[in-house]
Amino acid sequence: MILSNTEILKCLDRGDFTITPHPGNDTTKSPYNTSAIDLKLGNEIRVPKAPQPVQLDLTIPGISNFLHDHTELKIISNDSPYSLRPNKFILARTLETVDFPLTGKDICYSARVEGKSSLARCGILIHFTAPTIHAGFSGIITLEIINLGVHSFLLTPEMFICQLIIEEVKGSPINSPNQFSGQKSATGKH
Amino acid sequence: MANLQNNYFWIPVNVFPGMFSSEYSVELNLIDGKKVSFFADKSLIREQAGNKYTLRVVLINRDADKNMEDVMLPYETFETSSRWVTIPINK
Repeated sequence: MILSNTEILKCLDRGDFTITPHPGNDTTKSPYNTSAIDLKLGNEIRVPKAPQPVQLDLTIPGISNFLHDHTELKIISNDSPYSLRPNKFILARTLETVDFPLTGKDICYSARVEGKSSLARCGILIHFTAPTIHAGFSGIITLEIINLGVHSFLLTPEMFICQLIIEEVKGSPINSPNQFSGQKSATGKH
Repeated sequence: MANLQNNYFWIPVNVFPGMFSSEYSVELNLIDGKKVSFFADKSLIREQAGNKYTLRVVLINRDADKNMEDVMLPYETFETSSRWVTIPINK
């Protein structure tokens, strides 16, 4: 069940999940939408360095360090926004920190991060294939942004960049007796 | 009803600079000797004495006889695409 704006605020007030900074108490104004809440762009983006003759193999340890070493951190500001050129890909983060705790109650919450129609009209994808914010997630949401439009697009800190659709998760995830179903090893690959 | 807050505990990990200022790149040893890596928010990591670090995870099961624990990581690993891992018990 997707939460409405008013239900999102009730959950925030109860502490069922948190969005920091708090989006405010007026659900008829931005960042609330009727069935989602808009999130803003943070001031850090990560830009891939020049392509190298490397083939990624996720089975080889050390991928996270590889990604760190082959991208460059840029700090954007209103005076120095980032111009995302067509067909270019970057990583970015939301300004907000979210926390969807596992409480052990019969209901917990998860979310999906989705794009906004205004950006989509310009050809901007803010994620692809990985929208799920799982129950138990805590942190800042990473966005995978690509410009599929024909024009460069300015990324400015605190612009509304995505929306969060929040859903109830029925049943406690940890109490599931089938959580390791089908796995024969720690990694689930063997 | 289980209180899952009680299932949170901390396991030793190796950390490296993350892609963003609020995260670490984290490396973890599994029970089978393989290493996995992922990015984790700094709020889920504690710095211990001696420049050592621990990561908050959810304990699923502990088998002292086999010296192994099943835990749920806060994020999926690159190498396994999964949050469920089995690790040696930290003694």
